[in-house]
Amino acid sequence: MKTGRKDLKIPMAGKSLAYSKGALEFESLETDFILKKEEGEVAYYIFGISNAGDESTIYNFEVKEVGGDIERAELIEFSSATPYEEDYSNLFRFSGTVTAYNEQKQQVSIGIFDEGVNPECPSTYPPGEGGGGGGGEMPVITPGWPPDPYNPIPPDWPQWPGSPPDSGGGGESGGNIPPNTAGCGEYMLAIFFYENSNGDDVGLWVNECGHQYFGSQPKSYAIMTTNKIGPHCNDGSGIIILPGNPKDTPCKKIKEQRENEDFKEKIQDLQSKTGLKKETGYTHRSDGSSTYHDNASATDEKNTLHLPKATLSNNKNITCFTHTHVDDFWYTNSEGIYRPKEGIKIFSPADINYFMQLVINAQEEGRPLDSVCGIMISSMVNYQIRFTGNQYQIKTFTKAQLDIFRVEFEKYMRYRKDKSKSLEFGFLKFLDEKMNLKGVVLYRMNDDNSTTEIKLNSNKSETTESKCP
Amino acid sequence: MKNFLIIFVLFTISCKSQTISLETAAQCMQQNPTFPCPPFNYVKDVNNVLNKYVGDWKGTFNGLTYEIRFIKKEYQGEDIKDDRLIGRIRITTAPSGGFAYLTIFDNFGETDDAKTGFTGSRLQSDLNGYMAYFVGEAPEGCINYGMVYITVLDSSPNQMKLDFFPDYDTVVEDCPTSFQTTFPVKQVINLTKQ
Repeated sequence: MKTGRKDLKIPMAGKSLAYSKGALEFESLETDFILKKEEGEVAYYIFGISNAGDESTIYNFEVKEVGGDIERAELIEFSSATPYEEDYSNLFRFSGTVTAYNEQKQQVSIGIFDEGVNPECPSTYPPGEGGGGGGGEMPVITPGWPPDPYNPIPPDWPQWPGSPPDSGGGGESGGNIPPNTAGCGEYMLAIFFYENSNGDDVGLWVNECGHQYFGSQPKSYAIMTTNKIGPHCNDGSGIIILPGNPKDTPCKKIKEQRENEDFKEKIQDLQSKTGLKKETGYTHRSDGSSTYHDNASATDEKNTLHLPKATLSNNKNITCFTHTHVDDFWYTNSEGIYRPKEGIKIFSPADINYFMQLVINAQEEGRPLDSVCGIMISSMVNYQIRFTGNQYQIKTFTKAQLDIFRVEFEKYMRYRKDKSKSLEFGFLKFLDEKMNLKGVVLYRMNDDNSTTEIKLNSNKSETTESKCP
Repeated sequence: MKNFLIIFVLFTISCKSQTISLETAAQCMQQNPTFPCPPFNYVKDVNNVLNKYVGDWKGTFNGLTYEIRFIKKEYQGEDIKDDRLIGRIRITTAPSGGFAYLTIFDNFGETDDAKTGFTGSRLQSDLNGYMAYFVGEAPEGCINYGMVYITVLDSSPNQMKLDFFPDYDTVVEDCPTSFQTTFPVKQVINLTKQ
């Protein structure tokens, strides 16, 4: 998306960014996420800027509309005194400057914040009320409200209505909670917007302290600050769209991957090798290199696919592995009796374990968790898995556990081999129920180059599919 | 009350109609089957083809004595039920040099049928044998799991032929060259009913 305003140039002073070295031009700004917030007569449109900013700077473009007329449109720079934390939780206690630039490149307003407070602006408690300029009423202070370490809830007091038990920032109960605000309880979905392609609820999430963010549980796209971190005292949306393209989903990554010529070649190569009586594959590394793996001396007895041990330091940069599951065939035993050698044409527990080791490496090396992939090529359907969960959902398994899973997997899948739908359902259910592994999403790599995301439905009775855009 | 009765009766009928035989499942449960599987939630040994495998079997191969015990269990599994065999194995060396025998593998003492690591799976699609899945211990990098194939011909009901083929799977370390699978690969072990 372009703003289409070639006449606009905004000077970005003081930041050592590639974008700000000269002048940040409106025409070069790209946005991929727009939110609208209405407060009666007033509406705010907030545009995320995807191609500017750094570890301590976020840019948004915000338009204020009153009664249908645009009152102002400005580029807002959130320049933090300290780099943003991974979950951007320090925006809730923002220290730094917020600067607004108008369309004439001029700095029009600045707010200087310390620990989330602009001393020059009056407070606007309670949160979520009091919009455009009017300010809220003075808050009624009761024990425990506003939540504050110096104003704790007495132990014998009931929690205030609807408040969940304090999570302590832990990862229990699917508590993949971005932005982490220890002591403010879990984020609860206050306003539901829509369900995204991962099946996550996207909407406005609020915790006990009134901190809000917009997004899904695993990923926040934007946050809403209670005390309106902004350039104009308490006048503005208070919403900050975070960097990180909400559309930069596994679907998008898979699309790019499947358009890559080198990748296509390797898939074609493996596709031609499913008839070999051994598994073959590639590992791909973050430096762009790939290695072919093939048990050259494979015999019937020793035909396993040996992949580089992911826990070794020189293998930490393996991002993906691609491998075949061989075609079913008949062999004759030592007395000439025909026996069917049949395989399951979807990821095995050992494949999953290897994949999760790669996810751990990504986590350790600070690469996006959903950049890791496992790919299986067979004569039936080709599949890819990606991890879309949070760091607390990452786990690997011991050899003893994997042996048990192997038994269970065979039992689970034995009558699901005939139809890919049935195979997919059994696989996802096995991950969910037997391996208790959450956050792994299955993608069917269709022959027509399209990709279909497959998940369990909410009551886990069947799969739901959505085609990647 | 009337409505309730009707619903109940329909439910019973629909359950019953989802049972298929082991033979049907063996033939339709293929990548490109000759006929598609009908909807089913129970694979039943309608023709009692598993009964001939049940019992204690003993044979020798390469100086080792293999003792296998199969029992038959009905209506096993989770959302899809089946009738299946459960296996137990004891492998010993033959008595020699004054020593009685040395036990190599023995789970006859495992009382939990779910933990024998030797669970009946399906009939071969040509119906010439039954497959039981075996998972044995192995060092890192080795695979000691896969299908054990067994055949008992109606013409010689006291003779069992058994062989094994390990699974293909992903491993991360090199398997020691000295490693051997619990069952020899593709080698037929002849067993006699005890």
